[in-house]
Amino acid sequence: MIRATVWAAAALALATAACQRLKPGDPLPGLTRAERERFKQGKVVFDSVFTPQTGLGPLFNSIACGQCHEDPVAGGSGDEVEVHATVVRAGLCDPLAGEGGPVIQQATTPALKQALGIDREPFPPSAPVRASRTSPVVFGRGLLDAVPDSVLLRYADPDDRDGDGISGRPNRFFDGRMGRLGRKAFVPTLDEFNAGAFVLEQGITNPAVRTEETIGGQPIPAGVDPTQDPEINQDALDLTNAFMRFLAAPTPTRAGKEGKRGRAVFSEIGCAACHIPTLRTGNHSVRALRNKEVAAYTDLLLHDMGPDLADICLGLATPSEFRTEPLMDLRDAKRFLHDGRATTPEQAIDLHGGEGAAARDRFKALPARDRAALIAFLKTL
Amino acid sequence: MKHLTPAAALTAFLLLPAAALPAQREVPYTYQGTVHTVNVRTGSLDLLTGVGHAVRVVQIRVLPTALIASEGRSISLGDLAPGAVVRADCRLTDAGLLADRIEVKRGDP
Repeated sequence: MIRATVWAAAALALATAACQRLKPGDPLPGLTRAERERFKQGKVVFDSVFTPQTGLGPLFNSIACGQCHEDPVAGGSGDEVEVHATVVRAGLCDPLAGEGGPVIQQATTPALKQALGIDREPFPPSAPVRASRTSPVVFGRGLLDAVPDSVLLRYADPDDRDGDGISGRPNRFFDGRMGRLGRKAFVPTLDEFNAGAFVLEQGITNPAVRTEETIGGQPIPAGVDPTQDPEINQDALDLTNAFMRFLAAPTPTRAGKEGKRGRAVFSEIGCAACHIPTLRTGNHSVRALRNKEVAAYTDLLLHDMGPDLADICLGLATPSEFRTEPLMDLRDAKRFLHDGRATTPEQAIDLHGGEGAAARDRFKALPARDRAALIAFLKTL
Repeated sequence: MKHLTPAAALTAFLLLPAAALPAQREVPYTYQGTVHTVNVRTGSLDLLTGVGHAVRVVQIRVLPTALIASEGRSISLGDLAPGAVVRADCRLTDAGLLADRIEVKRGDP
């Protein structure tokens, strides 16, 4: 009797887990109690507001991770738009390290303003283009981080040998490792992305990045940033990483008849050639991340999107190459594409060029009923 | 811990090989990054490294005795092209980072 009850409870728990619909901001299903606790503690760090007294700045874009990743909940998108810059020199991408790096911070602490009289980092004089970057959702990024390189490389076809007009190639970090995070797929791992973001976005040095950004290549004036480096410790960094890693990808809402038709259209017209519907994670140390199917809608590879969207290079990515954007929590998005220039999914599709042009044209040639179905499908994601 | 007398300390100091003294302060560092610039005249190179989008440049001096290799062949500093991914085994000295060995990991940018 007891055994039967236990089995029934287990079966119920499994059925519940299988049917569990994850909302934006939910942790991954299947985390251990200790992992859930770290997720909660990490969210506290993610939402922590820094001040100059606790290390903010002297250059920064935001006072908290959660200030830019907030809509509809912590880990979501934001309405802030960043400024980035690089330059192509002799066929190579120069990240302008000598002029302050590729992220141009848009705010300064009072002490830096008093010392130099600036409200933001000067735009690099040698940069030809000012690139805009919106704050994306970070849901499901732990899952994307857990997809092995080998899985992604299966989708790469840099020379378009299959002749479908879609190439796709990996970006590479400075040390040669394959990148996957960021709009140009430059950063290899989630932890590295976060450690870099702390110092770039908030001016918070940490055990992985112990030095502040320069100010357009010039050192920080003495006395402007008296907080001892690193300004957060390894525990705070680890907890932030845990929160990000354990953030689930929201479950798509139930597709009605129209949405189901739209899902089929999505594949038929070629969107799914780059926005790969599902990726599979590898053998991860965290059970909740191990061998999981992810509704990713990306291949995490670079694709040429044509001259109209082109802005800056980064690593191996040319100005017109961008990583296929994951379509997680698209239903909550208010702006689309890397710089937010599109305000509807239709506009975003219409702005696809380069390798995306053929699918765009097929979308535009669809009967109105099928176009509406595809949009209805996108709004379930 | 036993303390040396001043005379014993001086004797011990004089018996040490001269080269061993600075070596005690040298800390080994290994960097893997992308060659940004090479200056053959000054025997130096700038390496792009970083964490995430936080880009850092590491300035490395390359002595003529340093071993530089690509695909198992010995090459010169001038053969290192910007864009190449290299691994540099260095020592941090009072004069900055000195490379003992540089190996090209990926030549084509």
